[in-house]
Formats: sequence, C-alpha cells, structure tokens
Amino acid sequence: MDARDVIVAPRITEKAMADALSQQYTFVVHPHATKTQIRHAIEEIFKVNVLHVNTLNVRGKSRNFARRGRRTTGRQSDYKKAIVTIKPGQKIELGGVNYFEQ
Amino acid sequence: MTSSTLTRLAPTQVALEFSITGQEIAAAEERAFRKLAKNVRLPGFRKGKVPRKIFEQNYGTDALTREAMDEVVPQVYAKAIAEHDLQPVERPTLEILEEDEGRPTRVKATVEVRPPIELRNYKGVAVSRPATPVTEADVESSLRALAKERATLVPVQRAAALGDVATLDYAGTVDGAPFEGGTASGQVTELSEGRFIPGFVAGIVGMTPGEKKSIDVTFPDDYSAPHLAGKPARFDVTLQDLKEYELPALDDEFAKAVSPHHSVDELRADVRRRLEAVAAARARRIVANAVMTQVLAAHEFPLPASMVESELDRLVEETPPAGESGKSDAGERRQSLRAEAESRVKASLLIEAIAKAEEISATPADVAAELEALSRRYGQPAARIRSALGNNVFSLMDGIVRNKTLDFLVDNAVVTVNEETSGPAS
Repeated sequence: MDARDVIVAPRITEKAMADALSQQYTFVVHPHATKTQIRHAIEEIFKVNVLHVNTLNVRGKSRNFARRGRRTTGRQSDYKKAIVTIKPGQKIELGGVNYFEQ
Repeated sequence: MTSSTLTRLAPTQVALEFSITGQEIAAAEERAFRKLAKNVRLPGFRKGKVPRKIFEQNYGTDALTREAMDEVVPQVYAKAIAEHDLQPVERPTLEILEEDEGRPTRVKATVEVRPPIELRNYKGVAVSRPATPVTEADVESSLRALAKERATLVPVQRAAALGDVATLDYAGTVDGAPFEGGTASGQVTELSEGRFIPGFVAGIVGMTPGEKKSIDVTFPDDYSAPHLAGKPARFDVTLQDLKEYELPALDDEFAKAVSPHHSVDELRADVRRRLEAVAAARARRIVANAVMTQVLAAHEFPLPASMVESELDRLVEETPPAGESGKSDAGERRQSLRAEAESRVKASLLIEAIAKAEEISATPADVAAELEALSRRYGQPAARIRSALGNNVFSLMDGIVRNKTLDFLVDNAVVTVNEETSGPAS
C-alpha cells in the first residue's frame, strides 16, 4: 500500500489540536492499515521520526431519519484513527500550513 | 505614531494621506478575529473555539483584514481630522495607496471640508425696517371679524349690496353653449369680489330678490381653465333670496361670549396686544431677513459642492414642479433652484461659524423648552417626544442654535424704523 493510501486525512478537532502540543498527531487512516504501515507512511510523508503509534477503530454512529412519515436509519462510516507520537522538536505541517498549532 | 499629510485640492476639498503601521493592523486583526470567531461553528470544534489558523484557512485572511480596516481606518482618519483641525461635511472617499500582503499601509482620504470663514461685520449691521403700527382701525376690523363669526343672517327685501349673502340660480353660456361649472341653482354665496370672475358680483349688486338678469362678463386671460380664458360669457341669474349679516353689538355681553374677558374694553386691549405681537414678530422677521442678506453679502467663501448638491436634492424634492403642465424637465428645474440652494448652504455655514465664534450653543434648558413646546403642539408628553426623536434631537439642537444665532444677529443689529414706507421690505 502506498503511504498516501494509508493516511486518509489529518483529523482536525479541538482535541487533536490540544494533543499536538505534546507531539501527538491524529490521523484518519485506512481501516486495514497496521501500526507499522502507519509508522512508515508518516515518516515518509512528513519526514519525521515516529516514536509510538496508537490506533483504534471508530464505529460510525447510527442516525435516524424521519422523512414524510417514513422512517429510515443510516450509519456514519466506520474509520480507523491513529494517534502518532513523533520525536520531540519535530512538527508536522500540511501544505505549508501548520494545522496542528494554535 | 500615525502621521498624516494634508493637501488642499480645492478650497473646500482636501486630501489626507496617512500611514497605518503593521502593529496597528495586527492588533486590530486580533481583535477582529476574537469578535468574528465567537459565532463561528466548524466541524470538530465547539462554537467559538476555532483557532485562528483554522479560521483563516476556512474564511481567508481577507475577512479579518477587512474587519480590522473597518476599525482602524476610521480611527486614524478621525485622528488626522483632529490633527489638522478640519470640519468635514461628508464621508470621506478612501483610496488605498500602498499595501503589504493585502493590508493597506498608506491610505488616502479625499473629503470635502467646511471652508474657512473669516467673519466680519456681523455685529451692528445697520438695517431699516418699515414701521408696523397697530392702528385703531386694525383693532376694529379684528373685532368686526370676531363679531361676524357670531352674526346672524336675516332676510332682507332690498337691493343687493356687497357683503350680503345671496341665494342664486345661474346658467352661464359661452358662445351660446353651456359649459362645465357654469350652471348652479340654489347656490348660497357671500357677495364679494374675487370669488367669481370679475364683473359677476358687480352685476348682482343692485338686484332685488326675485329679480332675473343677464350678466355679460369676460373670463380673465389667466383663467385656470384654458379653453375659457379670455372668452366672453353670459350668465342668466335669478336672485332668489337675500340675507344680510346682523352683527351683535360690541358690548360686554359679546366680550364674555367670545373670550374669557369680562368687558369689551378688556377684549379690545387683548386684541390690540395680539395684533402688536404679530406685528412685532413680523418686524423681527423682516429685520432678520435684512440682516442675513447683508451679512451674506459681506462674506465670500467657497461652498462645498456636496453640500450644495444635497441641498439642491432637498429643494427639488420640496418644490412642486412649476406650472401644472410640469413640462420643464428635471435638469432645468435643478438649474433654476441652484442659486437658492447655494444661498441656503452659505447662510447655514455662516450661521454655524457665527454661532461658533460667539459660543452660542443649545443648553439643556433650551432643549427642554423646545421639547415642552413640541409636547404642547402635539399633545404628547415631553418624554414621549424625546424618545420619538432619538438621534434627531441633534437636528433639534441645530435648529435651536440657528434661532439663537439669528436672535443674536437681530439683537446686535442697528435697526432704524422707517416711518414712511410700509408693506413688506425687500
């Protein structure tokens, strides 16, 4: 798998922003990616040294829709989330913009 | 920190150039961000918790810069205005001369300012005004008018005279054909010239009730219906009925009935007082106009074009089109009103300058008195009027200052009363 296929997108949320201060960067990754693949992908894309990779599978929430008397349910997609700890002093920037910095 | 340079483009127009430092902009942008971010909702963040980077990524830096400029430029502009002691008459036209990464650093503001007015000779202006005496005859005619309101109409059998009330049937023809409005029956009218076409009433005078007569008249050339103007007409008139006014006697009873006074002498004195007040007010107005005319003539200064234009707009709005045809086109009307607009602007600038020089201002007491007067006129409590006015209270104050200044001019004028001439002064 190519590095760009492993890493789907950065996860930019309040929590991710806060974690970035302690060198932990959060990404949405391919559901079948392993920690090792993630480590290599991050190191290749961002040219940083990865210390730890923590992953978890996020189950999409189910949503109810009531439209004109008909009720349907849907589900948000499941995805895998990876929290990558990198070497102190290094940082990750996206497209020249340091997303993870306040 | 900020410095501005002033260039006079025209007597009433200046260009101000001022620079804005990076720190000023940065500080303002930070404030702008805090203000805007409060209401921003982006996925992944609670409302108002969006970091600046993310905000800029989503909305662009322009939004912040614009917001910051809206804050900074007016401030800097106001400072520059104060620095050069200018009195602008309108909003400035802003132009960005230099910018750095989309942030203006040098701004040029072009604005019209009040011209410097060199005041002279506005005190002790010599004017003469016609005497406005209140004569015994004036009092009598006022009393008679009062009496007429309470007069009773009594039928008489005699030749009609001016001032009688007649009941008429008439049929008018022009060139042998009846015309619109020319026929009536049973019309009750007071016989006085001026209500009808000339000659009509004169023809009725002398008729006795029941009499029939044909009256030949000619429509005046400037008659309002153009197809009748200047044409001869014949009216067949029947005087059905004739009444005259029987005036009540001018005695104490009458005085009690028409006024809170107890005797006719008191009433007479009161009428005289009122007439004298009206005459005094008229005299004062004449003097005020004369003083203003002289003071205006004594001063010459350039008028800000934008003030003249907006005054002209107002005048065009107010003045109904000349002539019922309304043929004269807008441009022509504007041109014809221009002189009037210019003199109005000149007068108001001058009055403002004099008020400033004499430190005439609207005191809270003046405002309260004016509100009181308005409250009486509209029958509303003063507090209600005050809140209804809102910011218009400033134009109310302007009006007060204007009147006080005019009073000041009149009080300081040297007035000579011209005994011979009467009637309106030029």
